[in-house]
Amino acid sequence: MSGTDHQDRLDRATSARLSKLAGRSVDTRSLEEWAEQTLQGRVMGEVARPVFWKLWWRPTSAAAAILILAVTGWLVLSNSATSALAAPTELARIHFDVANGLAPHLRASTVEEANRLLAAQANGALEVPELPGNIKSCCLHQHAATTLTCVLIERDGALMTVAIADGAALRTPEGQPISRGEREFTAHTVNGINMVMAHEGNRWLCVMGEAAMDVLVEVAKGIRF
Amino acid sequence: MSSRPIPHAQAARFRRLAWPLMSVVLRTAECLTRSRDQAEDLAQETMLKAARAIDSYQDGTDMRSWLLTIMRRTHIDWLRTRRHRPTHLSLNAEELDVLSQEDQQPGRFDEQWEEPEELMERFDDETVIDALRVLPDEIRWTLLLVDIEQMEQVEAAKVLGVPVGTIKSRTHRGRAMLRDRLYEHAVHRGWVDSKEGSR
Repeated sequence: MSGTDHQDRLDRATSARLSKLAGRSVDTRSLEEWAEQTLQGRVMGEVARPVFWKLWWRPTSAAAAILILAVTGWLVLSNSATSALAAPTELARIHFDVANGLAPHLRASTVEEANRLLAAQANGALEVPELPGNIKSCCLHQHAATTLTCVLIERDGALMTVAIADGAALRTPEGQPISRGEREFTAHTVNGINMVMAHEGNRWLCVMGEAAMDVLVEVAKGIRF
Repeated sequence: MSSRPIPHAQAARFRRLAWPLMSVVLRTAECLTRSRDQAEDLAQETMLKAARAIDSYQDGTDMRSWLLTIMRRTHIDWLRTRRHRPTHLSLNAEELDVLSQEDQQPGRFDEQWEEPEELMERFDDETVIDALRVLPDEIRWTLLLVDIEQMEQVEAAKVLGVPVGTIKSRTHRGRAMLRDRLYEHAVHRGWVDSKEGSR
């Protein structure tokens, strides 16, 4: 038997042994019991807490709410005068969530449908322009104290997130500069996610995904506001 | 975690779509963690996140992949949290993706596996799972999806957020690493000779 045949045989035997673990019985009773209680408790909007916890909870939560409002107000005021820096790491996480359906989103297949659905969700939704790809879904994200309008598109089998924000609200962090004709882009790569950012008109734009940087630049180049 | 209520319609959708896969979630959690309690915790957190996000699940797509993607992210968060907690340093050392020098040359006993099918069958499930648990996280996840859950490599690539080529190489490498671990068990039990591999 040749070395390759032997390796193939070993691989098949290993895979076959592992596949049998899928047939192993697991005792899901306590997990199901927990899920049942959790769903019932949460569906009724009543989480079981001891009485002293309830008594303590209300004034504490009220105080916490006031504190959160104060901090949020301060953050909004302090950020309103200047633009914030877009964070590539956070943007990569947003793409991951959007591409994997982990973030709340709206299914849409056309620009018109996406704009209609987003406008119905919030006043902060920016108008989505024509996009060079098949639209899959759209959603809104908070990022650096501004609202990102995100659209998931598919082009040549690759999923990409197009994020749009008010051009005055976000700045692009320093990265690899890319020129295409009269357009200027900045490229970043985080955790295997490529992204190109640009300012176009009064909008900030980011196109990100696992596709090659050139592909993302081509997509970004095709977006006009 | 916040205790905001899950609406009735959402809960009903969760029961219909995700509940039947509870055994898959728990089974996977058992291979990722070191105790039954940890597995239950990981499975609970995954299912709770799934219940809250169930409206974002797209009908017609693979619910199992969707749930395992959530579990994958939850597991990463767990590991990150532990890495930042000094009190969990001993657990960190076991769970980090640190490859020993031996692991970087997997398959060192491969030439000694004469009847691999027969030898593989001699290991009980717990031994195989224990051998899986000591593999690096990314390798373990790949084998969980590709070999145990029999997921297509394209689908596994989506769950793990890596290219298909990476899944192929991790699968090959992971199987070899697992075999090395199991061969050491076989030597320890006197099933095979203890001579070192020729590599």
